[in-house]
Amino acid sequence: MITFHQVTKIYPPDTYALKNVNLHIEDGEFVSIVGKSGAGKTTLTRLLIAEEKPSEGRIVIGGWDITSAKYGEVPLLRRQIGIIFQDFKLLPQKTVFENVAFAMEVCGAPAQTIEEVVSKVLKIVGLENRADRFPQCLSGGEQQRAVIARSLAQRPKILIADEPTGNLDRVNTLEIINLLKKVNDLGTTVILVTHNQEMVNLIKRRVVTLDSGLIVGDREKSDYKL
Amino acid sequence: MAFPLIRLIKFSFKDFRRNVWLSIITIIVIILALLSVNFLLTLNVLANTAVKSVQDKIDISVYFKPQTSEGLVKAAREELLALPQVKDVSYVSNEEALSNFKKRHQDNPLLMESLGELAENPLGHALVVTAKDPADYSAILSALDKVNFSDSVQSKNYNDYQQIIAKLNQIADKVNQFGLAVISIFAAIAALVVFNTIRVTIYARREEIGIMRLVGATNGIIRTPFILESIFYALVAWAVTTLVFYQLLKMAHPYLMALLGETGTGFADYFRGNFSLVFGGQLLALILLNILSSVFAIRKYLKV
Repeated sequence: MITFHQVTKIYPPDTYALKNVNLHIEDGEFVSIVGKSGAGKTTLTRLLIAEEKPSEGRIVIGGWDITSAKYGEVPLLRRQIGIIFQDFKLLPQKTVFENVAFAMEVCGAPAQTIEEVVSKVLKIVGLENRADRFPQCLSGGEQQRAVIARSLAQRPKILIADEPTGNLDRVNTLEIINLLKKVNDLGTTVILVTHNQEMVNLIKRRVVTLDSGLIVGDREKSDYKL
Repeated sequence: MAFPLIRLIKFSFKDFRRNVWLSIITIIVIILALLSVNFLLTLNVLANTAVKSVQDKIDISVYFKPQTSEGLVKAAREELLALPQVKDVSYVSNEEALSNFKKRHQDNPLLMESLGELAENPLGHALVVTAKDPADYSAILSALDKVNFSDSVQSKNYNDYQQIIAKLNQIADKVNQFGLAVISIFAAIAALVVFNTIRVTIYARREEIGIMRLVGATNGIIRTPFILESIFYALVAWAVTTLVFYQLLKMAHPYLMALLGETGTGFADYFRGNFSLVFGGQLLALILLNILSSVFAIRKYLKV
């Protein structure tokens, strides 16, 4: 369960990225956060992973007030949250398998567990036959699936996808949407941050609309127009 | 979950391989700095050994009147040994003194001839006194005027090397000061090179670090490989330097012995006796210096 209580984020000197945001996301929900560029979507994402702290208000994840999280506790929070970006952020000198395994290695997972889990998540995203390929040998959609696999390897409770289809064509976009739905069906809370109207309407799940840092709409499974 | 140390070591080796040329150059610079430090240390040891060998030559010879009995001289020796400033007193019998005298003047036929005409040994027994500290000789000299046997003393001979020692000490002090200054400069160069290498490694790994942060790697896990890498530089550079320097010393030893005589022996003894202290100390100092450099680079350039 994620709760934003009166969250405001101000960038000096006086730019309001978010204003008095109140938001409640249940466990296992699939929520799309939409809005134009500069609406505050990315700020909301950065606050969720404690990359930044709100200027005012509180953010509570699973009963943990992350606004008062200590510096050393941030990595523990991030192990609960998988994150996917538009620009993939895969390491070019590592194979797909190694990229996924790397996330587990740096968190101290034992070698045998890494072997098992990586094979499993690559199967979930449909990349079991691409495990030995380097990212530059994959299509955009496959690269994004590798990133999703890397996030899933940590068995996160929450998956944040920040414009995951920004660099993809329609076919690959549909693939990624279906994959995110599948992940959600497995019990992970999915937060999709996007301005892709078609994608959101295809999902037909809850849509929260941001505009100039304010929540201007919160609809259940409705059509959405920007 | 305890993080496997072996994995951290693996990460740091990867950093080494990733910037292999930079790593090699860093190690070479540290080796050159360490070699320079060791050459300065050698110079320093040589200067100090030279001073010591001159200091060891200082003594006071006390010549007794020819009729003085051996018993009295030996009693005088005991009395001198009781003085707190005295390190040693060696007894030279009149026969020994005569044979030494003959040896010293064997090229002087006139002296030898006149010596042959004498029926008895004209020389008395003697004592050679060495002090614990060169500064103590004046105290010993004045004590010799007050001892019980002063009436039996014919003459005293004090080999004063004070001026030479003062000069040598001055040179040794200058060598020390110069050495310290140069060592500080080399230490600073080594530290800066390690700092820069770690900075470049952080830059080369920026994407990886970003991903590590995203997936929840702790700050310790992100930072430790850089520190291990700097320790690795220190270990390799130290091992190579010690090996090279040891070989150089071994090669130079016969020449030093021929050139410096007794001083050369003292020099070799110094390195033999203090090998672990000198090189162990260097290793510790180098590791500490490299850790400090990498920590500074990490604090400045690695935002976690």
